[in-house]
Amino acid sequence: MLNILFFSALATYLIASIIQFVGAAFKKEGIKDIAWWLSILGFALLTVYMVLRGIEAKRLPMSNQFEFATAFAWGVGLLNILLHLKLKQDWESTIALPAIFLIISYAAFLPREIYEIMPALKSAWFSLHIGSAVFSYAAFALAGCMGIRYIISYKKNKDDKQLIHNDYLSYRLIAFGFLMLTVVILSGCIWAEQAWSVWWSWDPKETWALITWIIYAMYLHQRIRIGWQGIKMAWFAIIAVVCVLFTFVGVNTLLSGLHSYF
Amino acid sequence: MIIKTLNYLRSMKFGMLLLILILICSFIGSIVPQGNDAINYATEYSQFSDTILLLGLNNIFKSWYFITLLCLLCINLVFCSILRLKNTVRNANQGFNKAATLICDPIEHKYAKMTMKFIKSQRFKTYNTDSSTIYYKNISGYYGSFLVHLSLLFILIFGACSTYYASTEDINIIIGESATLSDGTVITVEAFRIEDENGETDYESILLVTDRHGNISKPTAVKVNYPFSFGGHKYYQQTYGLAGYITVINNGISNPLYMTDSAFITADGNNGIMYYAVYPDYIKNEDGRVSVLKDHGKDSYNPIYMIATIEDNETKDGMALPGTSFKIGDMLCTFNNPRWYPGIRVKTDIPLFMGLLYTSFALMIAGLWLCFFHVPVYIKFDETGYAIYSPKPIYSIKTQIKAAIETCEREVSKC
Repeated sequence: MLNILFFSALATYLIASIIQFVGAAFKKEGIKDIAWWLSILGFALLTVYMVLRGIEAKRLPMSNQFEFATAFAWGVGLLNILLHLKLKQDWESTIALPAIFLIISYAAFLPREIYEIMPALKSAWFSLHIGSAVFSYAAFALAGCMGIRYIISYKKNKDDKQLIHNDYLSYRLIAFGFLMLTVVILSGCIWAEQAWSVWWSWDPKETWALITWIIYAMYLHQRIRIGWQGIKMAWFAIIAVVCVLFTFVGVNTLLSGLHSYF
Repeated sequence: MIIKTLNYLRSMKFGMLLLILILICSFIGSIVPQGNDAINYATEYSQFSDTILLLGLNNIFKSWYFITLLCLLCINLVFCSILRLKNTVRNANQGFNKAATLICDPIEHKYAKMTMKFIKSQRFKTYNTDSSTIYYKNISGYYGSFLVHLSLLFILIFGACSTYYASTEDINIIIGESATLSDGTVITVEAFRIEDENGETDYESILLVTDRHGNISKPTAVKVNYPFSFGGHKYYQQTYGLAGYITVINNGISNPLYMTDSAFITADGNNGIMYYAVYPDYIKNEDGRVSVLKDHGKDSYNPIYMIATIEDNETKDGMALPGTSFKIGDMLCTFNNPRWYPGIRVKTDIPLFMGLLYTSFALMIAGLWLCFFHVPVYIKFDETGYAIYSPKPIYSIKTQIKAAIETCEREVSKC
């Protein structure tokens, strides 16, 4: 049952991505509407999957790489829907839907068995730490998608009025993601002090979270204080999201440390 | 020259440079394993090992240059936050003046009232000048950036203090036994379990602590994530293990030995028993050989000792089950049922620094919220029209106002 739900969500997002792309390429609103409803369906399937998995595991389903990847995709899906509803436009979906599909595809290659949670993860800080990480990564990923969208639109037409909107939204997403990432790091510090007696141990995951935080802090400084915007910031958002992906996938795969179990 | 230096120290350019350097150091620190022995770097990085050791890349986060970078960042933060407070307050006070001097975009009078109504519904407050009305909100947002920088400075300072003044000690205590800390505190492990009542893995020690003043704690459970504070120390469930329990009788005197590490048990310095380890379980292979297991199943617990007997320069490797005895010379060693022990970490720190550190954390979150989600906005209305002012990008509020005006226009045209 769980597998059916998971792969249905994967397939739904794949179809939604293709339909959205076709709709955007040929500027057919009707086709894009289908993609929108499919993305809602994909999100609903993913939500049901996570709820059922959580019930079966008797915990928040975010305690290993597979579960976090699924939650990450869910977070991007949620933010995409919220943006769509707020903006009443779909231009962010053309990049966001394939991104969600890719994240779920990555999750599909990971072991899906439900394991007993290890004692170190049995903490009240777990939900805050991991939950905020999901929203932080999701916001950064979506901001990266906005960056790609910006560059594509910019190359087509430099005077496109949508560009300012796109740029501003990317900034707002990064501001939100930055706040969430700060919550991740600080809640992690408090949790680490309770679990390991030290609030910071320069573990690779911690270090890369700090690197990501510094990169986005630089983005925000450049934007707010120096006034950088537009194409420069779009490239910045894309490059920064690579760092987020390394913190998520690369650190767990290539570097060992206190977060290796994750 | 001094002014130039001070200006550079407080500049954002310098702050950015420091962040980039910290970022590079962090990157290197995450790639190069930290704190290993020099021989490991020689084996793993061959030709680069000398460079790694020379530049201190093996301990980069404790290196003088990394600490210098952090100190410089603190100086930069002091300048850019505390010394800029005056500017922040001035900007906050001048917001109304700046808004009042703005040139307004024209808006038809009939729409203006409806737009103002919309603005009031968005929790804007009103400030009247001689010639205009200024709607404003989120003035506290001016202080967001100040709070973020100040809290980061506090985090670095209090973090450094709490790390510097904290000390930790790891001790293994056999169940039922006690250990005494250097300050006279006595820790007794009353019980230890590795599974909770539902059969799930959860390490828990029941500790009884007598502090240096003779105050005795209640027996308290210490689990991973749930440390216990008493008498100025904090106790953490850190690790656990199985200790060998060997009774040695020599010259009629019996000594119980608890072994957590390998050791040579001898009476004369030459002959004796080499104790390697004790394992919680083992299996017999088809060929009759025994393989030890580092973990035991929930229903199987068959401990086995890995030992070697050394007698007359002859070494015999072997295994021993609990209850087995070996006589080497006059010494009789009996292997008893091994005993579990929890590894307890005892931390001594100054609670004030931890309290200040956590307050700084809260301050940073509040600062970021104010900075990005509580942006000051002023909307000026006069006879000619309206104008919007904010010290930060406010695309969304501009869009909202425009949308509100359009809605007003639509509604008026319907009427």
